[in-house]
Amino acid sequence: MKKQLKSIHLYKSYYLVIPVVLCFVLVSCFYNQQTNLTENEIRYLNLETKIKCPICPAETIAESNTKIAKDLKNFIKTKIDDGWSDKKITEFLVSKYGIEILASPEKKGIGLFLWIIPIIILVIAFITFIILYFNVREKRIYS
Amino acid sequence: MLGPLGDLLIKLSLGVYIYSLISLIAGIKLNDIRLLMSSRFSTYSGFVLMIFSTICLIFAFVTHDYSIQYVADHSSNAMPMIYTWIAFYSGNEGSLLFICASLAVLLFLFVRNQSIGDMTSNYSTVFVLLFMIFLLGTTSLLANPFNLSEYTPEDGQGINPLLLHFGMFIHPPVQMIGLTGVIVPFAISLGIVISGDMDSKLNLLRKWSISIWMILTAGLALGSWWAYTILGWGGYWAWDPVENSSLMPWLIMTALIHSLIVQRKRNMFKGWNIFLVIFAFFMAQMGMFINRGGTVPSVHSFASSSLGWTFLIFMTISTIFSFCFFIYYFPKLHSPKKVNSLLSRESFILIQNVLFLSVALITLMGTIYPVFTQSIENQEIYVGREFYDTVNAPILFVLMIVLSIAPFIPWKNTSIKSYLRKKIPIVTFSILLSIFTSWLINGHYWVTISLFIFYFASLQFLLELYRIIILPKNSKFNFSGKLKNIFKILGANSSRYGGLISHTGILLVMLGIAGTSFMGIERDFALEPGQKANFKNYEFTYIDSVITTKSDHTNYKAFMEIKKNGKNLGTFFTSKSYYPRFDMNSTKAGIIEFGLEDFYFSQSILSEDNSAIFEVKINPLVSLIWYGTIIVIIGALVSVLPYFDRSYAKSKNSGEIK
Repeated sequence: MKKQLKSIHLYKSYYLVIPVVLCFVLVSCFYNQQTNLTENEIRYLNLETKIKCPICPAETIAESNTKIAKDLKNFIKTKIDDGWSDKKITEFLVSKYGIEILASPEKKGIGLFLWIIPIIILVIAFITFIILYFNVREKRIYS
Repeated sequence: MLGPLGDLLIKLSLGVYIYSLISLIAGIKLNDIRLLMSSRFSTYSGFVLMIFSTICLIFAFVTHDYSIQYVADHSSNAMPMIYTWIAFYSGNEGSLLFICASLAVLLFLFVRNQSIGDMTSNYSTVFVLLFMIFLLGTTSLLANPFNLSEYTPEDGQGINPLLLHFGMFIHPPVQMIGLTGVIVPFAISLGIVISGDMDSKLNLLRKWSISIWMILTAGLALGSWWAYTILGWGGYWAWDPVENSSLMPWLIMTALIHSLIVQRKRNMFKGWNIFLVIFAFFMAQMGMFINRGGTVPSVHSFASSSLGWTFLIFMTISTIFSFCFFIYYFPKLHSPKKVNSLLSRESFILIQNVLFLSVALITLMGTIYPVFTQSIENQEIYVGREFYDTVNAPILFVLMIVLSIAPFIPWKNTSIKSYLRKKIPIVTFSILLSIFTSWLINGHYWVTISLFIFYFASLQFLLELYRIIILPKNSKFNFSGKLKNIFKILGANSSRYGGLISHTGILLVMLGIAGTSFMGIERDFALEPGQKANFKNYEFTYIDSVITTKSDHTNYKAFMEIKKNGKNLGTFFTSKSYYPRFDMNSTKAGIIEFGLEDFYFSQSILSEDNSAIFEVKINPLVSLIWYGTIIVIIGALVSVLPYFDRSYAKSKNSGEIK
């Protein structure tokens, strides 16, 4: 009898986790965060990390200190204020500077394979895990 | 005068190391203790010669001896005196010499602690010596820093202005020692495999791996901190090829030190560990190749040269050799034990290993992908932050979840039910705590989730400490007794508690990264002298700029008075120096640490009337990254230093370990 009671108690605490986690997710997702930034500024901050500085070896315009990076930043800022979409801005820059201007390749053409690589690697990782997990197990049966 | 002397010393030490290798191999073959002895003493003398040749180069820099080409290229009369002491590793040849010297020190430390008849360590020494001879040969024959110039100039070229920073004193040496040091665990494990003596050297392997890992960690953190203070863009990590090349060995070493725990406790994963260590060494050499080969453009390649192919050839040979070696010895390496259940510590460590390896591989692929597109389709592309952020960040986040669970799950097996029953109170409590903290700092939801992981892991750690320190009834309840007890208990299982301390540090770093990436804000301000501006809860007034001209650069200093929530914090400055000889700007950002939040400002354009454009950033929680790293290093020290390791102290007293 006592044992049964104990197990009921156990199950109760076991199910407690679901409402608690749900509550956590709700609170954290709908938490209104004040950033003090306007919509356009957020777009700008996002976009400047996607455009590479044309003359630097490996910096985006967000990081670079060169004059051309500053000019490109200003260009993006004014175009966002003019109401251009992110896509239009990047397309314009690509047509002007070539696809080297993108800080990360697009998910098509020459850049597509790059975005597939992580998936392949994760699949290989999963297979490695399975092999290591079961391989070690069979050796035991042998000996 | 110093040139020929240094040249002589470096060539002598090359000869001495070659002799040492030959006599070591002969000694092993003939089993002759005298030959082994002779090899050891020549290693010592090679070490001394290396140190003296490095001193020669430093002395040449300090005395401005421009008859040496390398000194003329990498220093100038205008350079601050203090930087002449360290300028010798700012270029390709000198940094190679530094690498050789540091490897000589590591080799000396490694050999000194091994007894002479110990075959395992003799085998290991062979591999370290081979690497040493390769590096020293490259330095002395292909990139000799002591080469004389044809005529002696009045003044030298000076070094890249970005290197004139306090970070120069520590980051490059630490990073270089870390990357070369990976050879030591590699050599030890190869030695272990050849001799078949798995168990007695495992602790040695663990200690060296953790030490090298710790140095790599310090190197990464120092590099990020340096970039944060001097590059003037308010970030600390940009997934640049050179940064990646130092991150990849670190990732593999992290996997290695964890799976070594499994081998030590449960005698499993032997073959896997050898694979990991080979892979780590491959990655370290890849890093050297990327740094020196100049195949992938980067802002940090201060040492690029035409030596890439030498490193590429050595890397190919050593990788092919070690994988053949691995396959040849593989049948010897199977483990008698098994992973019992998915919900066990060994299986979690396996998950962690595989994930770390994936991150390393993805990073590697992203780093070398531009080389492929360049050579195959002749199309120049660039792989940057966006790719790594979208791909690596989720995997690293999963790793953090694994980190909060794995150390507190039993070995072998446990049932879900009993595990949940134990953990539910902690989960609930940490959720409440994380929501509360997040409310206090007005956190983004990703920060809340990171806080939850942090609290979940550290509460379990605290609970464990409570159980072993406060609970035992026999110890008297006084404070000093407890304090003594803490050290005793930490010492009894220093590897575990060192690890847990490091984990806490890593979680703090994660919090810092989450805070800056999700809550950091940025805006440009164009200000005239005396003008005020507001940003979030900061109010700042641009006072004025001061321009000073020196022989090699012009310095612009802008002063700003900053108030937070109406409280005056004082006057701060940001400075920018323009070096006409390099056509380069070096920025020193004004960083005001307020609590855990940084107010970061740097000046970008200065007009005639002293009005300027400022980039202002507010980076919440960024200091957690630096503090977290310090805690990580403390943890690593606790698990490595013999002082904390009581089992070591005991065996030392009874004379088991020489």
